[in-house]
Amino acid sequence: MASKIIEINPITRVEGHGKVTIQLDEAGNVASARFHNTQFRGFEKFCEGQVFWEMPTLTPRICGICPVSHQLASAKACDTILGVELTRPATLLRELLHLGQYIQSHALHFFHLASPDLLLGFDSDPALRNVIGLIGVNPELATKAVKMRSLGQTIIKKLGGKKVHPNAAIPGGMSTALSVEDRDYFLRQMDWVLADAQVALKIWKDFAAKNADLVENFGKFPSGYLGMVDKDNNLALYDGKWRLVDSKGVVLEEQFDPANYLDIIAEYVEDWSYMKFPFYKSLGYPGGIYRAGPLARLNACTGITTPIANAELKLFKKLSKFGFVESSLYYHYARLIELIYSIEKTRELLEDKDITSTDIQVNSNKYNEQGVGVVEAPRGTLIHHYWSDETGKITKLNLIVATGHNNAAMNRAVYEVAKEYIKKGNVTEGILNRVEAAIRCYDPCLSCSTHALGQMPLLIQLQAPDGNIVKEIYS
Amino acid sequence: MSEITLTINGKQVKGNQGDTVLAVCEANGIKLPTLCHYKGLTDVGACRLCLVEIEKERKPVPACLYPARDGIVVVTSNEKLERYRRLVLELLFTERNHLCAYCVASGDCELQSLAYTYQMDSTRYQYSWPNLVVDSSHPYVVFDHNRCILCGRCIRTCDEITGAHALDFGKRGWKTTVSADINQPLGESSCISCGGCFQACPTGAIFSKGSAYKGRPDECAVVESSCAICGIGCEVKGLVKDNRLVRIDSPDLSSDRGLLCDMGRFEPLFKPAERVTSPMKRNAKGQLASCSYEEAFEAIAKKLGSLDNIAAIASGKASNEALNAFADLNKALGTKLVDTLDGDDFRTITQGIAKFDNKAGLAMEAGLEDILSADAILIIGAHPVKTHPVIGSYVMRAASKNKAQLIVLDPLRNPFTFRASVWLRPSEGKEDLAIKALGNAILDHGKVSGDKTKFSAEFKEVEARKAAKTLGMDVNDIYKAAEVLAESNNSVIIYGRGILQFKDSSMVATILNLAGLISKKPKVISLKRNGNSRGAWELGISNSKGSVVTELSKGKIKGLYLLLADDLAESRALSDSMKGIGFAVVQASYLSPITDKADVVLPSLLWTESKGSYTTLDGISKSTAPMVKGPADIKSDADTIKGIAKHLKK
Amino acid sequence: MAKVKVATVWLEACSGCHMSFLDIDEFIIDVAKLVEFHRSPITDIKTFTPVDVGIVEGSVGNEEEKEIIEELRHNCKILMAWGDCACFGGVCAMRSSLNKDDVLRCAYIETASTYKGKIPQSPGVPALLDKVYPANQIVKVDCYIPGCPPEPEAIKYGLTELLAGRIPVLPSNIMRFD
Repeated sequence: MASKIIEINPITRVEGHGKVTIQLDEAGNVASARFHNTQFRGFEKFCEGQVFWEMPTLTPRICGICPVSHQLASAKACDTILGVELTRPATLLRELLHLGQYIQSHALHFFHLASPDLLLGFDSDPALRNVIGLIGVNPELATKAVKMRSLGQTIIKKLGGKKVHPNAAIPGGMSTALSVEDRDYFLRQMDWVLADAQVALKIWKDFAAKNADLVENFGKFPSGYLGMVDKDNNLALYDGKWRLVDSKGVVLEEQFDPANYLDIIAEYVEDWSYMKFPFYKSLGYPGGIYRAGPLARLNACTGITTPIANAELKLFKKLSKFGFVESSLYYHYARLIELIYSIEKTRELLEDKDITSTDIQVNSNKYNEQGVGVVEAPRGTLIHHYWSDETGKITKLNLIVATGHNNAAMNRAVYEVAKEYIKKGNVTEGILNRVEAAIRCYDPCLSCSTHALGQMPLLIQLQAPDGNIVKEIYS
Repeated sequence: MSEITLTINGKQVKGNQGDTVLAVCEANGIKLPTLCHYKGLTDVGACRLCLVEIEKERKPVPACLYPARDGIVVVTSNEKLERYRRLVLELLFTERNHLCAYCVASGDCELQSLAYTYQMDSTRYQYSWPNLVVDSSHPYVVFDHNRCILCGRCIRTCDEITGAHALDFGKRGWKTTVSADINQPLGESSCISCGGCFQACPTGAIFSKGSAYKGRPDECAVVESSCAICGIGCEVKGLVKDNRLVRIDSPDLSSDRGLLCDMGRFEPLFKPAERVTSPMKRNAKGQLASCSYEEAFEAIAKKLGSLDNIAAIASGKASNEALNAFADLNKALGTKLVDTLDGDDFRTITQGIAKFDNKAGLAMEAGLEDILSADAILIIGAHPVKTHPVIGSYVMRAASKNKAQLIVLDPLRNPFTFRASVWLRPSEGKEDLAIKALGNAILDHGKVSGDKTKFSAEFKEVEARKAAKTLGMDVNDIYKAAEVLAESNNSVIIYGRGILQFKDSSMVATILNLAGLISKKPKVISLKRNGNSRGAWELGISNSKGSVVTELSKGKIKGLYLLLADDLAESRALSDSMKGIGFAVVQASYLSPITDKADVVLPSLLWTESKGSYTTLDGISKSTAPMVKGPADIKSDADTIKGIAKHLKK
Repeated sequence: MAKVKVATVWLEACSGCHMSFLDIDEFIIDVAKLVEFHRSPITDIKTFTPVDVGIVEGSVGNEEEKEIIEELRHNCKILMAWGDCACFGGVCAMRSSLNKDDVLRCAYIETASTYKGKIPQSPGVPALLDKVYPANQIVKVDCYIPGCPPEPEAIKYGLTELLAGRIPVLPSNIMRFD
């Protein structure tokens, strides 16, 4: 039997198309597995020559699922170019806008994408294993899903102007204030949304209890963990310093100013993917691969400032000997803890007396040479770095997007899962769904929308080395 | 103007002979789509959206250029015309890179709005995707050629309304772009930063750095006011969102005083210094610390009320209401030394007029509109483009539209020196002699329309030829200038800092003599320094005897009340002269070296935040309306001053 | 009544149009009753199951995307474009003004954090087209819902019209390009 290539195409992710190829050896076992990103758009080039005022509105078009994060990272970079310090109300509004996105994005991911696997099982009928299927099986839960995501999107629309690609975060602050009526409306929603988030947490816990072995070992491998923290090393999502730890608990970077990211992070290019591979420079590539996003953030922080989420974080930390959780499935758990934090924090911000202030803009007509804006997007750390000339024109950009940080990790997770399940050339749809599930843990953006619309479109080709298709499997 | 009757869409409508079909449509409420048409500008028929069918015409014609005639039959909308219009829109969208998604003008764009109207959900043509530059070189506006539809509204505004003609079309054919000067970056061109192009632009091709993404017009409240910065009193329209000034426009660019300048349109969008947000007085440690109005008033009344030798100085930026209260307070305090910061200008001008002939001199004072109708303009020691840009613009318009001849008499280069028929360039300090030489040459010319017997004495004392030698000037230039002025029927003389800096009233008298010599109805405009300089002079705030500012440094004055309002100019010089003052009260909008020296600081609202009346440099009364609220609980200047007065009586 | 078979693809895009589709909120539950989302909506293989309605988000910027839209067109009765990218080229088409090699060099070699850069060229990644095109410059498109992304209202309008058997033409009052 000749060696074969299994191709899963497309696996979708933030920038559009992605696919997985799994190379089998002569015996039909996994020799290698790769997650390719097949789309390229060139923001870093075509944004050159634009003026920086436009960047917070232009760059959200990188991603339709976390446009708020792009807008905020961009606006933060532009604040630095303007050389201004934001007013407190402007910072609060931006953080609230960001939390609206966390609520919608984490809810979307858990309910629309992950819960079908968790509730219905990896090997259940692919025709039902999606949110539309969920509507049939558990309409009550599906309604919760729609409602929770909708609340997050409504917060984004009220604060940001639009649900997708908002435009209210601008260099120097925000363009729209929050009205008292809207503030009161959102406050009234906090109780049910927190209760629903706790329902989601229970779904996870039931699943984890029933599938302890799977949860513990699914796509498990050691890596670094990168996340943003406040000055006391508590979880931070909008602004803070970086903490980078490894699986053994070694703190590689503490209270690191992300504006200096170039000192510790570089990106490697592989010939077979349009997505670059960020790594921690001191450890080189591929030794310095690290993970970002919910699991990494909870591994990197030591506490959470809101009570319910913090209590849950303590349980999370107990899952492993060193306090650093390695299995990819735990991303779901971490994401739900962050969802609860986001809701608790949203309430805290809504109760702040400055939240409805109109003192939300600072202006300047002097422009600094460069600005770095970093936020924690739902899927991981997001970096926007702009260089400007003295007239405000962008001369150069560097963008490291959230999903990018997990590129190497997703490749590794795909390999680990494929190796575990594909034996002697035996490939079933359920196995390939597990391979995809490994990627889905990391929540690369577009998988969400596919799943929500129906199911992960999937084709597996078993190819002979000469390219002849030996076997095709549709999901 | 004779009335005509024509048929539009089957209905008889009236118009005037000389109107275009578009004008008749507009007057009769018949809507036609337009992009290149703009109120007050010459129509050019560039966009082809207003195409209409006219009986007996072979093909559709642009309504904006077609003269309405009695009896013609016009159709403004049918299937064919609507198809053409959508085609034009598709061509416009595919010609350049129109990306509404992130465009600053989205939601406030005439091109986009028409695309919606015509349900243009796609285009049938190949995109050109040209690689065009974004010109961000200008301090206030960005010119993004990707979004330009070549309607030429900016070009015509710059030429016909601003008079600068800094913009024009460059290159040819499909490579045509709007170009500043001859392909120069806008920020390095002869642009005078009036912002008219930005206001006239139908798309996001020209946008303001200070306003970008801060709010669309439909999200903003509109507050009409007038600008109080330089003393011209231009009408303004503030667009306000959540109590923030998003942008300042002219209510009607084509109207009188409808043009704005960088000072009125753009600068108020930026904060030049930190604000004074509450009253402050020295604490036990000697530091300025916030206090209540009551505490501040108490401290001021106690101190100033007990001191003998006190002075009070106001800026010409304060409103008439504030200045009235200021005058009353000083009466109550018995302040002997009262002046304005520009008191020197006041004394130079008024004493000059008195030397000349008070009644006749005052009668010579011209209005700004006189510039537009002048056939010759003499600019002496003034840079209106910098200090009073709208006057600069009026001069340029008179020169380009009315072919008015410009004569510049100035040692320094300014934007008019290269446009002028003659630039008389004496060395600095010799302006006086140059003016006299010019007067002498006018006498030589013989044909003088003014009163030769009354005004020639001073000019007979010099001889143009000899003076030219002393001045190092070409005598032919002096004679050429003399000829222009002597032969003009309607001349205006403008003078400013370059003359006033010498604090020599006889120079002003000489200028008035020259004006009387060259015209039967002499017109003179003096460029005063502040938005309400003239108001302060008329209220008698300026000291007629001598400068109070120079008294400050002599050490005799023990107490000082300084009403600065939002004046930031000359703060260093003034703060130096405050060293010996025992007790100083400063009422100001901004923290500065002057407020640092004060014992009590009172906050002051900006003109954009307050209601007040101002007198323009040509004597017209204008008022401001608050466009935004100032920092919380700040009283108006007048109320603040009245508050002190009340405490005095206790 | 037989359900309407719908296939959707995203080409060069950000997924925002699909997100906006989810923003029709509860209406999605009604849609689910009337519509069968096709099992394999996006694929680059030779076989493609016929559907009633094909929906495309995104512009066409590489060989793979070109193949996908051609196959979708071949297999659907009505093709609807969602969003500015599919309707006009959109933000993705900003690359069209530039030389594609310059764009690739910038991203994979010149950017500040790139280490030992090289331009990905293996068969694992599809080659870029010289320009980025709106859908109707590659295949015939039957109806358009522009917007970046289209408002949920606009998406709802498009689907409702299609389900009623009409080709939607978006009315001016809900048309948006931003």
